Amino acid sequence: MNQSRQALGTSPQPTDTNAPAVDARQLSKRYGRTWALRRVDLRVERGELLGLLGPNGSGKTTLLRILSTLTRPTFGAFSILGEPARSRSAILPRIGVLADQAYMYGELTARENLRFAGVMYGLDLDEDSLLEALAGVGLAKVAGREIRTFSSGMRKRLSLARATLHDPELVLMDEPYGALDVEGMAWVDRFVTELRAANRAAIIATHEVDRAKRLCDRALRLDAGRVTYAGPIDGYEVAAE
Amino acid sequence: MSDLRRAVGVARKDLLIERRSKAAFNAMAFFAALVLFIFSFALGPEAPGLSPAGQTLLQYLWPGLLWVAIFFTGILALGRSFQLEMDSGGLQALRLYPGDLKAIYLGKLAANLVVLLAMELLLIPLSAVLYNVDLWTKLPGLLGVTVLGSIGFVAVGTFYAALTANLRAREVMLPLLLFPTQVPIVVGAVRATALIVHGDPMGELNVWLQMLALVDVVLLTVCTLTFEFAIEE
Amino acid sequence: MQQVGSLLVWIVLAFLVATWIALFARRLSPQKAGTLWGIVALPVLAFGLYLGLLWAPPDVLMGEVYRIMYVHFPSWIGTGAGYLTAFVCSLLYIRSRDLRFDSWASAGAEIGLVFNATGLITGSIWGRPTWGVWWTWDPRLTWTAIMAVTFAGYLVLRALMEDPEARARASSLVAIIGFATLPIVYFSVRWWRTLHQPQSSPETVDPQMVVALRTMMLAFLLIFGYLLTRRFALAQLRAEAELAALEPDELEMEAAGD
Repeated sequence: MNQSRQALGTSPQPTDTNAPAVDARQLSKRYGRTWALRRVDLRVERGELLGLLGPNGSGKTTLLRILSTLTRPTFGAFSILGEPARSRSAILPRIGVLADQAYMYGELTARENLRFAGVMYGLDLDEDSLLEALAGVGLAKVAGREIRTFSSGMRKRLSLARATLHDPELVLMDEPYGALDVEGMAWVDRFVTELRAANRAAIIATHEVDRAKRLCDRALRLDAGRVTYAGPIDGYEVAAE
Repeated sequence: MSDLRRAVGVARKDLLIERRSKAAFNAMAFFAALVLFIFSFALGPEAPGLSPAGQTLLQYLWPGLLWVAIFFTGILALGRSFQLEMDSGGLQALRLYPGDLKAIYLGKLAANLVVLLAMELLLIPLSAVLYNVDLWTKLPGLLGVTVLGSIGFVAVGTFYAALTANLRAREVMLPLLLFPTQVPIVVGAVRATALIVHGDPMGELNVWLQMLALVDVVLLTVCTLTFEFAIEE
Repeated sequence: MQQVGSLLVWIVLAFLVATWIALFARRLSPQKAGTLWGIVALPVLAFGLYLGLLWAPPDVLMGEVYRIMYVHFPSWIGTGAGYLTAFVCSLLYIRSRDLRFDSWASAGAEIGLVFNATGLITGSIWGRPTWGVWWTWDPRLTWTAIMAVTFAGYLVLRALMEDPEARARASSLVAIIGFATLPIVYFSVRWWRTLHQPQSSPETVDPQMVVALRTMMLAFLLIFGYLLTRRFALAQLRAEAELAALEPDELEMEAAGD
């Protein structure tokens, strides 16, 4: 699915193709009295899939928010695809974010939601490419339906289409399996497999250790904001879930 | 250029949602009608005004009452404008798109302005009919005042609606923060409206319109320059 | 007495300038400067009150009642200084994201509001015997009331927000927008009122009154400086209490690294 979208020529050419997808050092974030992240070091190579594991409230979402430039770290530095953290406008066209929330408007149809996202990404999408993107997640038939009538699985699929509409080189996913049925989970699996086939990098924050083991190359475990495991996914043991 | 497309995109998206749900417009229209009735009950439909003779109090006070109604109903549209972003998952959705964040401000502002002007197109004739104000010949001038006054209101209103979107007490905070900045708009708009409706023997109208335009420019500039900080979370 | 008063005004002014230079040269900490201002404020205030309440002649028209102006006018000095502090430090906060600037800004807004309230209340008390009403829609009085509402909104917003950074960011923007609109609010209120009643022409003021008023203004400025630094110190103590909760955490992190 990525080949065809690349043909649109919308993805900016990376300035430094050797730079890792994510390179973060000592990332720390304090909210009031508590540290959500404590000196997290993180490196994700291009084409690598990283499973971000750990219990609720361990800082996974905070880490993804920082990497997607939404939140400033209290201290620590990072770069995304060779771009320093400060250059928001250089990072954002090259990353896709699949958040917990849908980032979609219930009163708009699936097609209208995607069209809006396309305009905001500065893409010139015609009706065909919108439909193609919807077909990629099995929603072509309901393209004209307002998404407040969608099930949570359908919304998630639309979010998948939205997150890769601009053919990002790095995808950040926060709990992609959350509250999905078996079929929905299969769609996410398929999506991740396609990312791998297209040699994209991704960080997948999830509780689903088994799925992470199947899909990811490496694992990073956070506990109370601290890294407690970093290494190949095969060496990751379910220590204290 | 793509930032201009983004601004237009945001405005079109907001207006499309508003056209489908009519959540803001219905509430506003209903509230505006209610306010007009309450003024009539409170002031008495036939109480005499001060000047000229034969005018009722409602006719005499109409310019001021009109702008009070516009401001109170306008608050509803502003609150709604960022609530739909919160429903979709928060302001971070907009901040994840590349490009200048000023585009989002201008898009939101344009959508709010359109909704407010649509409400005024309903409110002005309705109040004129209810209070027996003769303004059919004065509509062009009134339109100018309405647009100028609404721009100033929406400029700061959109900004503060974004700033308070995350707060639990946003319904209280938005007017509390917004209204003190609106004193110049109220003063200018009410005075200009009164000059149009009650006559302008000294030819002051242009000065008031220029003042309104100047205030609009100042408010727009300040809010545009600081908006990107208002939607951080 | 006239000469003594004038001399004192110049000496206190020189003292203020000297402390400011020392502050910028970092030879003096804000806390020490505040303490100095507080100490100096007491005799200046006592002298100013003596000049204003006893020594200066009664007003030709208003008699003794006018003496409230020796508190009323200097209050606006504290109001202006406070809001200006809030505005400048808010801009600095947005630029630097250093929470100390936020502490200065909130201190400025709070102290400014205290002086603003003093000015409004004394103005109201003065208005009662002079105009026969507690409140009059005098342009300047109206303007200062709008100022008070603006910065009361700032403080209410702060009270509603818990996260220190989000609170600092949001309230900084309120201070910036609020302060930036104050000039146009002032002109609009003046235009609004001048159509009803002309501005009262400035009266010729007795030189004795001028000296007394200047002394009181300096005294209020010193008190403002003292209060501002104390309020800032309080904000810092609160922030330190937060940090104290973090210190063992940091140590623990170091230990874990070994």
